[in-house]
Amino acid sequence: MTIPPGLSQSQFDDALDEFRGVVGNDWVFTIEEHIEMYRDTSSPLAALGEQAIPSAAVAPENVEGVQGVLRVCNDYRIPIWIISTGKNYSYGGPDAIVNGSVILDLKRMNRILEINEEQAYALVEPGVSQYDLWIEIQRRGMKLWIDGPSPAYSSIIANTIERGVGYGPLGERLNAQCGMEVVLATGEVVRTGMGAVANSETWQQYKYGLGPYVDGLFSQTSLGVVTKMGIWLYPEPPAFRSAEVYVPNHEDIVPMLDVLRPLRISNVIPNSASASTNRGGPVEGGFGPGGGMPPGGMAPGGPPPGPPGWRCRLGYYGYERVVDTNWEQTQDEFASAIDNCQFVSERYTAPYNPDEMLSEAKLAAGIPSFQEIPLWNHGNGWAASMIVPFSGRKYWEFLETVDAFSRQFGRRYFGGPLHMHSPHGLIALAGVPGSATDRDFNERSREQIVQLHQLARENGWGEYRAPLSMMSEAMAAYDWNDAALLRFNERIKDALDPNGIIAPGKNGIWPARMREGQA
Amino acid sequence: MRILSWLSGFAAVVVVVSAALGQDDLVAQGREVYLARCEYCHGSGPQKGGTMTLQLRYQGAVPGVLAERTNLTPEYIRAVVRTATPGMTPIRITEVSEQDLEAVIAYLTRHNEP
Repeated sequence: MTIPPGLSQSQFDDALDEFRGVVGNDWVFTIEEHIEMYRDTSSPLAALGEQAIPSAAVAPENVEGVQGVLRVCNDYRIPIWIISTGKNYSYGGPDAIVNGSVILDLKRMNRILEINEEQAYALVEPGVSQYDLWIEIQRRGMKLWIDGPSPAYSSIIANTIERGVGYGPLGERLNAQCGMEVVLATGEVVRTGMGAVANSETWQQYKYGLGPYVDGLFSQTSLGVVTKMGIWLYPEPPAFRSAEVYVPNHEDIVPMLDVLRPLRISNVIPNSASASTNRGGPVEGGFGPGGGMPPGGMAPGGPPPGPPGWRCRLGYYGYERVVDTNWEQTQDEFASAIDNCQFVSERYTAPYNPDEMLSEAKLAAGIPSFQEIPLWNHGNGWAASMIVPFSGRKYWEFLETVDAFSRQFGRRYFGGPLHMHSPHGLIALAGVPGSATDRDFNERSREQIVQLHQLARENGWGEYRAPLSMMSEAMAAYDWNDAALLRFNERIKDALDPNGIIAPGKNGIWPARMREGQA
Repeated sequence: MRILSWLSGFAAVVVVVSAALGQDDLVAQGREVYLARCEYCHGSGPQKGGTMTLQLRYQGAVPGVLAERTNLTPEYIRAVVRTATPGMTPIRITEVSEQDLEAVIAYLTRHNEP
């Protein structure tokens, strides 16, 4: 049995008894079969023998339970790692960084506290999944859409506060957040925005309240436990169009991005546009399902896999005339910039039947599914999600730089997925493959991803979100003024979490007691 | 071995649940849990990832939709739900409780040959 660092077995036994006193015997998990369910089954660290093993998992059902668990962790200096549904696979799933951490499992806090059709918002707890909210809206017959990632079982709150992605008109997920309730590391409960006004009826209607806007501190956070959150919803549009644009040549990504940028910034394309290479067909010696190239874009050396070219996925929402006009304008822009574009589109009108929608349409309409299953996409590998200048020429320089770098490792980079959920931003993924069992393979891939992070730092490509085992490497890119931002974050961490119990090491931010020896 | 461990560890739960609910009630409860926790991946209709995977794997030898199968055993269902299998991560007790899992098992085995 793994125990938390710095504790004796008897101290940990005492702590477990106290956890049981807080949440009940049934909700403290310590036996191997249960602990196994709190491990990331796709972790590249497993084959390296470096995956952190939890000492226990604890599952409170309410705010008082969260406060009680944090009290015990403070008393015993136990590191705790927070999961909501624990499905953030490819970024670490339920795994902690520190071996012997206790997993705080919030899945039992799964109440949908309010859905307001008129004001288009919901107030939820962290255990509420995309599917839970979507199906409840259908059950009540409300004319509202949610937005979010593909995996239906992922948490609304966690996806949002991890600054994840949706594929619809509210795809910049943190932008759709409105009002939080947070249990701080020391146990106090705060509500942000208008929730701090005791008699307010506007907690989910206006984000900012008065004074510094603190909600951002609780995104990608190790400062507290978000126990309630408002999320804006999208009024069901009268019409909706799902569309794809295909361009035939590898070099066409340059004009494609230059066409997309003004359309995205001006909201002619109102959804989280995304793009990817067409390559990925079966390749001998490849790494993806069936031997193809994984979406991380990293292929084995040799001939390019599959057909060249790119595609982007788009969504349009609103009145029929607006939807059609904006799509026609988009086609005109592409056709004038790139030869031999292909356009694929389907228009849907209310009332909608999800079973009649194509899979791309379901994504753009926020209907939870498993079209993009992270286990298939990134299993056992690493990915870096870098923010690069939103410019065709600059992206091409990025692509060529990463490809030249990858050849040193006997691999080629043809371009991973591109995300445009933040309209002015372009996020480019580059992944390296991993193995569930081959240690040498993963050592080599890890060396490549570590060096890729150094390359990214030299070129100013910071990441928007980092996988668990590369968080410190990703934070190292944020080095302006002798890493002033990291030192600022460490000061906040030490002030709000004086015993350094919550998610030590998350995004490279370590509490004072663990900073010695960390990069 | 892990399956056996699970079985022995939760045999008592099975007895308690079965005693508390009639079989029809248990099947009805299992259907509700299945619809809430499994159907979005394993249901019928287009683009259900689990169903598509099983259709590819078994090539029509058995239905891709789990609820149409007649050869799933309680042991197999429990093992797939609670341990990692290719393409499916473990479903934790906080997601589907032991009692709910027994109900799902009752639902998915309702048409099995005795």
